Amino acid sequence: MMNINQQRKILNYLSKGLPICEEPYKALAESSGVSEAELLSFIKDLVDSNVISRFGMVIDHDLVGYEENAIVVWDIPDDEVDQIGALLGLQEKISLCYHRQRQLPDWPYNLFTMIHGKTKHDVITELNKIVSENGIENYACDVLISTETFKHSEARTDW
Amino acid sequence: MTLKLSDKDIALINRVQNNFPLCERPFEAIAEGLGESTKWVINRLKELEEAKVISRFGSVVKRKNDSFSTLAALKVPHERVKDIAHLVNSYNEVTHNYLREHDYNLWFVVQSNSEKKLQAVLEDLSQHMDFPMLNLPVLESYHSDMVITL
Repeated sequence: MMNINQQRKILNYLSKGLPICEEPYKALAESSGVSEAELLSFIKDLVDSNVISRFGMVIDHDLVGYEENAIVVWDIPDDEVDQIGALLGLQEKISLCYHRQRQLPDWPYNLFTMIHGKTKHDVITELNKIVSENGIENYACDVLISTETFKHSEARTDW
Repeated sequence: MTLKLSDKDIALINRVQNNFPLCERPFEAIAEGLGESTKWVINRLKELEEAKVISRFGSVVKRKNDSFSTLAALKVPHERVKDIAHLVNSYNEVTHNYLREHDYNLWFVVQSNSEKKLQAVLEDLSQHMDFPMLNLPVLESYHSDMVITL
């Protein structure tokens, strides 16, 4: 059984990063005083219980050519937004999918998705594919392609 | 600069972004699944890490529940974009700020540890200029993870 200090230490290590080597969990298990099996089942519990949302490698999309992104906004009737939001959230090239408050009369859109691609053309092609595959041609939508980045920082967690 | 990736690289990257194997020799399991050697998998991932394509191997934590954020937008005339973007950036609470092709052209995310501070930033901002502003807080999140399948 792990104590709270061991759990904290492991969580801290997992957020900083593990080494890429044949047995990446071994050193952490040893230095935390737990068996590798205990460590692995602890990480599994963290994922299953959603304490951590993902375990794996974090990729810099810009460096692999995915430099373009667009916020695509939709005007979806309130009683359908949950269903369509859940559907669009599953798409491979959509990273964010939120129901946001409309701001009438200036802003009628209530569903926000972020679509990524290598070029603007790719983003639009992907959008068209998502629209036709999910049968959402009849909802008003607007595309906000980014043309310049003024600030892009990691979300602050150091309050 | 963009790194040239082969189809093998893309399959590898897609495999390691999520559901990473939790066993003593995870790269062996990945190599088996991809039909590659463990040595190639480890070496290639190390190279990708060195090239900063892989920024981290570990856990991604959800945004803390005690943080408040909103997406806001401004309708700024072309000739004022630079200095208004600069003004928006000057708030520590602003984490992202993009120019986008639309009447509402400046889109930024404000994040704080209290709702009150968040509103204070938006109010302060609107006292420094009088361009139309949208404040679009999240009502429901359906998906939020910056992982995309290449």
